[in-house]
Amino acid sequence: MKLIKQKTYKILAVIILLYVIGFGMLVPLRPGIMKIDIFRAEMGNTVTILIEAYNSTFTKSEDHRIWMRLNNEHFLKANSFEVVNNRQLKATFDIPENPPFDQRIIPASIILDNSFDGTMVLPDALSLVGDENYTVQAEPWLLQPISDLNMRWAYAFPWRNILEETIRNTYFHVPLWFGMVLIFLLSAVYSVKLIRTDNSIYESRIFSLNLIGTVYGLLGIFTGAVWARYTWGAYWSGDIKQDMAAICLLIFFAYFLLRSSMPESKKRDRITAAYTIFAFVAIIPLLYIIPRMQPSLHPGSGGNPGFGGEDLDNTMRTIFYPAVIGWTIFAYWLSDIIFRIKEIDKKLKDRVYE
Amino acid sequence: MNLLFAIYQILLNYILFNTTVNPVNDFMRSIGKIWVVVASLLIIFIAIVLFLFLVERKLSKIEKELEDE
Repeated sequence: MKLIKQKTYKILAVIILLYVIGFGMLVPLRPGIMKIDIFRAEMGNTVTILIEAYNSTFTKSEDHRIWMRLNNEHFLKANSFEVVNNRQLKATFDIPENPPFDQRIIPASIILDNSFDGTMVLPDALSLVGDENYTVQAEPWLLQPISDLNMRWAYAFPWRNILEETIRNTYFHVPLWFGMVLIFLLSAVYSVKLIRTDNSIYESRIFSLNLIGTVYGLLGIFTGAVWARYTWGAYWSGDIKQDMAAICLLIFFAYFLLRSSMPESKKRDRITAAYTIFAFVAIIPLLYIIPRMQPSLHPGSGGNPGFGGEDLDNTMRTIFYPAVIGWTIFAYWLSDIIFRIKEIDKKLKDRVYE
Repeated sequence: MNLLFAIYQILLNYILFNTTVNPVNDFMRSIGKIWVVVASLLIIFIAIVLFLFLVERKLSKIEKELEDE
């Protein structure tokens, strides 16, 4: 860490965090459909659907096109629409009498496209229910397929239905965990150094880094709990990643217990350093391997991480990666303060004994 | 006063029946759930303030030890 000069990294952390908080809070969300007023429509009827959108400006454009999407091939275009205000729009569909394939109840998505807002999608918006003695008739569903969507790039965060504005928590909750792991990694490096050189200065480093890492973990748990309350419905839903994160923290609580249970000595330094290495090695499978083998509410469960597509698009990357760097440097700064106080305390005690 | 009453009602409902008052119209879910993000930032801020408190306490202790010498 001698490469980084004393003050520059602190200024860097402050600038990056200001950028992250400023842009993370101020960049708008892309327009998206919040909800529609019906959940079910009988086939063969004419239905009018009230679409409620978020961040949209319906009055700015007149070329609205609204579709119901059953699957990749079968669509139904609204034959008329009426703009109520910027956020609300009424669309009228003439639903054909018969389903396009052999299924009586079909879930349909709503797709809205205009030249000002771009394209919005509400997946599984409603169910279309056919007559009891229906016949399969695909032709009416193939007449007006989706074409020429106004896919424009804008510096805005993606709209996700349950997340809504809380997608911004990606810059404040997720980097805490990334920062925690990086801080624990540094602490493990110092542990190796301590065991190799027996220099007790590293003990203060390990202690301060572990302390800040644990604080970051606790913060991650608390911010995650609040986030989960308003998206998944409960503070703690026993999700595999939540449980594993809690176990991680317990492992590091044990470090502080172990450290305070022994008198100050070279032996204690070596034992706690060895424990830190063990703890770091243990959190990797707990946080990054086991949650991916189980069904989980977190992105990236049951396979590769969810850092593709809509969970983290290119706009979000321009803020997420600086956020990880910023929060990590900030954590190092905090741990450095603890470290220096520990060192002063140690020197003071040595003087008293002399 | 209205806000205080609303908070009281939410707390009471939560403690007694473990339910929220009205999931659609509650404060945290208004404006696209932006207050959830504010709450996260607030938690982080409170933690930093707490950290400063603890550091200051430790510093005061060291200062006192220096004086005692």
